[in-house]
Amino acid sequence: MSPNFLRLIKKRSLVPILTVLLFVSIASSVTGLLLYDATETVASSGGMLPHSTFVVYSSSSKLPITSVLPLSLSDNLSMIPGVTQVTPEVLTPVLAKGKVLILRGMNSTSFAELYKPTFISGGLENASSYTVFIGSTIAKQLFTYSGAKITLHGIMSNYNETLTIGGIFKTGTVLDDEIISDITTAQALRGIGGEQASILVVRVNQSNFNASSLVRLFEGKTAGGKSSSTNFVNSALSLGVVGIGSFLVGNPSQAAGEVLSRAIGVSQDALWVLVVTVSVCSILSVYYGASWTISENADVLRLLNWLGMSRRGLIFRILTLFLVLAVISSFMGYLASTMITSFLATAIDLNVLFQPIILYNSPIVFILTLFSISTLLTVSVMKLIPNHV
Amino acid sequence: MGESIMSLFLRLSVGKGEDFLTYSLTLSSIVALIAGGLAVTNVSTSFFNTGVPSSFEVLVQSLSTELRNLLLAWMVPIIVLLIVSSFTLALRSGQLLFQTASVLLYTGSTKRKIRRLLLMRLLLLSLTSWLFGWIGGVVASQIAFRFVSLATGSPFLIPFLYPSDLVTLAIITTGSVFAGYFVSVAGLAREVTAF
Repeated sequence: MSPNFLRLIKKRSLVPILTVLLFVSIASSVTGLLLYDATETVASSGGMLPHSTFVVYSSSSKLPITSVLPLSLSDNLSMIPGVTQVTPEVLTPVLAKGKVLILRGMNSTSFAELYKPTFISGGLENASSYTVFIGSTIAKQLFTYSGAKITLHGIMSNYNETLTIGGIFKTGTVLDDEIISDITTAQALRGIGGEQASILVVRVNQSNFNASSLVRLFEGKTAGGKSSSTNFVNSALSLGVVGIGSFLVGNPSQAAGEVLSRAIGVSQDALWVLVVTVSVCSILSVYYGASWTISENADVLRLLNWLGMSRRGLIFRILTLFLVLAVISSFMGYLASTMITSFLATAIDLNVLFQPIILYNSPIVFILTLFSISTLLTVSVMKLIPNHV
Repeated sequence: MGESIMSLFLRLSVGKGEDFLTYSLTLSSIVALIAGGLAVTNVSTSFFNTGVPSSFEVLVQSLSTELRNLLLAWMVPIIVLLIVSSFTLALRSGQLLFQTASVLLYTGSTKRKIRRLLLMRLLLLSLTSWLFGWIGGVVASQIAFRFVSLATGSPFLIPFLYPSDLVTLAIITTGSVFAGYFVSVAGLAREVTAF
């Protein structure tokens, strides 16, 4: 792009395209960052697991928290070659001092091995029935301490339990926003039987673990479930909720899971709809913004064309100018968005699934925004500069 | 006679129809984004507020607050952006009328008439942007919700706007467009000393 061409372009005519590009960059970056952070926060709600470890949960559930699995599955999983440890966990939302929190029920030895907590006060030696361990973030929010009593209300079971705080820990993961108890307490507060869990955390030795044996195990279970419709309804009734006609029939605690699943579904949909709406409006904004600037400079472009500049030459110059503006505005938009989201996350207490949102400030959002805007600009300029200027 | 003067006045204030449509559609697509966001916020909030008391109320309320806060975190910067961009685009649109205004001034038009010309242009700009914007935003969010719910298998809900949202959008759009108008007039006054 020659400086002479820049001199010919009216500087004020760049105001509309620059405004639109900044608007689209900030809007896309804010939407992208919020969606990415919310999704990653949900993904990490299963716990930040060590290498060679994965989580199994019910396929009918949108999230680990709504899953119900038979504990017997852990025995089957343990028999697979290469599986070194299977830890059942029960996840449930509970109400403590008017705040909705996640309670994770699991064996205390597995808790120490999997998540490696550092205790600020108390410790796992205090572990016994009717004892809970509280993440450091939650402990601060609840103004509680080791040795104090805490009453938990199981939202999905409508059941209360008063427990002693055995310690306050820090892991540097989402577990700092959770309460850890033994599995029996969590099952009672979740409203499920002693033979059920929410998730199974499986640790494998990668050198002799083959994923195909896992697939065989799960496919075998599915095939058995489809053997007859009566069997299907019976198993669904014992394990969860089944739709019969216009009614939902099943375990009441699972009905809460259904409410939660549907609500999470709507939340996810809402965020995705925002992404689609932002994309559609961005396409229109960029197209009309580019059209505005080009129409303001139509006389200059026409003159250059009469003086012998080809359409390709005009497109190249206009596009280079627009792409430079796109890079600047995308970068500024991304920077502004990271500042806006981090400010708003603290100012309005952003939570996802009862846990504070984790801000990743992923550069993927910047790259995607820049790529989309550049593509939009290229298509718009190609379309807006006609064959005969 | 009166009709033809009115028609000329309208034509002068709009200027080149194609260009005016471009300005209006640029602003509309920005308004559409806000309208779409508002419609999604409304439908999500109404889904949670079923009005039926249940033991899961605290859970549902907690999720509702989370979603509302997330959408609020999205809306706050977008509304600020709408105000800033409407202002800037209106300012530029007003400036584009300077040449016509200068010609009219030198050919004997009064300052009052030129002010009315600018006023009419920005009134039309804010009205068309608001109208195309909220209709486009609601339609876009409804289509988007349909596609997303088909893809995820979630219940399909219809995004909508409350009348109060339309009033809010009208105030924001018209307010920022007219703020741009006043700055344009101030600029015009500086450029045309007679003003």
